[in-house]
Amino acid sequence: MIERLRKHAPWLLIGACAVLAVVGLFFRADSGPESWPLFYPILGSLAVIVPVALVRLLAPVLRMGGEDKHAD
Amino acid sequence: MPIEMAPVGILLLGALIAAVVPARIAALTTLITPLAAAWAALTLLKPGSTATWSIMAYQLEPVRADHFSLVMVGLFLFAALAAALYGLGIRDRLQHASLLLYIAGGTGAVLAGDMISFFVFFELIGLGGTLLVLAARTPEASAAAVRYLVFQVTAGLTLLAGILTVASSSGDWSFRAMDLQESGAWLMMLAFGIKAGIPLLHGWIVDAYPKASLIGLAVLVAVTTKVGIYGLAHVFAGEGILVGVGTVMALWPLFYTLVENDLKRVVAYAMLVQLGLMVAGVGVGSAIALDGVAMHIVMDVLFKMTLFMALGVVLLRVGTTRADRLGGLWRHMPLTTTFVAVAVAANVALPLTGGFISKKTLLAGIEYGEVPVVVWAVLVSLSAMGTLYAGVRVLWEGFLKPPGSRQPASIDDAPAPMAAAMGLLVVALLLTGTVPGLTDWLRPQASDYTPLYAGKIIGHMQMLLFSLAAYVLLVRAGFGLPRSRPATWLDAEWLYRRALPTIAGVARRALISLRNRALQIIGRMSTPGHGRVSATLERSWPIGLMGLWAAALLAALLLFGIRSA
Repeated sequence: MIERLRKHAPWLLIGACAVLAVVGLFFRADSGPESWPLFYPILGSLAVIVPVALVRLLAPVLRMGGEDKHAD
Repeated sequence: MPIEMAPVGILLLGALIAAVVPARIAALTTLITPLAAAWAALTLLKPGSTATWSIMAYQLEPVRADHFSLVMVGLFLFAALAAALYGLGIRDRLQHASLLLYIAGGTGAVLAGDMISFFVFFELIGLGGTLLVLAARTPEASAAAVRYLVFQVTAGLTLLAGILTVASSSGDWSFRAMDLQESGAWLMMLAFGIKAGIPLLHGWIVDAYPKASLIGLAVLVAVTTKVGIYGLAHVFAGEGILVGVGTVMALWPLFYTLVENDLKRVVAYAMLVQLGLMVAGVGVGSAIALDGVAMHIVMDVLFKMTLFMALGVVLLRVGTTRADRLGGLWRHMPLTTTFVAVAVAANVALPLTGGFISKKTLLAGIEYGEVPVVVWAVLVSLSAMGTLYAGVRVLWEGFLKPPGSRQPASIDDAPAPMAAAMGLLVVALLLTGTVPGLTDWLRPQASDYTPLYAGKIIGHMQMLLFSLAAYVLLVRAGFGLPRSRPATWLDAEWLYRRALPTIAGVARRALISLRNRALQIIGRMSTPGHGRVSATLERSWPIGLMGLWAAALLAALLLFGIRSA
């Protein structure tokens, strides 16, 4: 089951996102950033894209290499 | 000793018994003691309970219970019970006795009504924690325990200096709210900050916790840092500087949660993210924010203990917690995988878990405070980032992804006591998230905010699902996280492991060179030279020249005195 879920996960996720984005339009706050239609979708996407980009950028700089002396 | 100290006394007595009886009985003693202490606490303590104790010239107040301190006492005893259950099969008196000592320190600290009592228990936490790390009995753990102790003692001495300064200027020894204008208050804030793991002083957490003994791994997350947060909330609630400190504290560890190979270190860094959120909430200081802090302390202990316990089981069964060697454990360890999944869900504040109630209350407190909207948005997005470090790194890499090549062919699930302990924590997480009103008792300020309405839940679900979808698309496009591999990552510890020794070495060499140069000059001045009539110091000096030098020195002193005045 896990394998099947893994295979179809992207489409399931995208479908769920689309449904929630539409449903969310009817349950927005009256004022503030939470009232913006795509506030949470944009925030969620950025919360992943920015850290991953930072990791790819900084990893070569902050990696000392060698053995992982901390593990186990 | 006043009768109200009975819960702490029972824990200390339990620690003493566990230290001397055979290991099997020590494990049972450790299981029974938190229950006895909880019974004593329920019988003797309620908000407003106080007890005084005269020692020498001092009137101590070792118990001054309020709603917040009783929440913390309940949490520590529950954590002790879960950890004792987890360690029921472990035959090691040191681990059992240290656990009870550690919990006694935490319980005593949050009940303390005066600064001397608080300091004593604050130090006891450090001692108990050090022993829990040391009990792993490996060279790495011993070294980490020494570094852990150094930080605990530094925090303790800083606190003592702050207490003495505050008490000598105000004459008040009570453990009370202060503002930073009071002399010595900064030192106390720094001491709590060290305990809570503020940026640059957090290295000991990710260093020591992953190397601790199994019981230590399970319980260390519950007390030390939480007493730091409690201290900040009790004394410095509403200090605006903490909002900035907390935000940096929450963002700093994110990089390391995404790159560390050892999943224990990933979880330790993830804990720092949550602690940062709490510190920011303390900085706001409103009733909703402080209720959010209290609830989130409880939930963070529940889900982080579950994650550390699960990794302890993985270490026990597989022999490693390195991400590059794990994967596919869900086939062998379905129960542990389920517990981890619930803990990860609570970590990302999925609705129906206690994490949703606590984190959303805390974030609402920050939203309603005078905090820039960008800071609030960044703190809100931490849950989405949690899908990366908790969901992708711990759950996916540890349990769901295709297995690593070096795994044993047959792996058993958690032993029964360990599974029961994780089950206890997970049930608590689910109950607090599903039973209406159950978290009300965890609100010391009795605010009535609830995040359980459609707009909040749908908005949060949008954020989580879009973050997951964004990551899946990044992976498909070949821009996912780098593959996990063994490495050492530079963190703030670089400052005291590399920078400070280098600076000290350069300064030492400069001083030695300066001394040698001075000795050469003095030698030249005092030794009759070859072919010279006399050395400089052997010459006769005219009285007029001496008088001139004396006048110059006096003039310099006069100028200095005028500037100082």
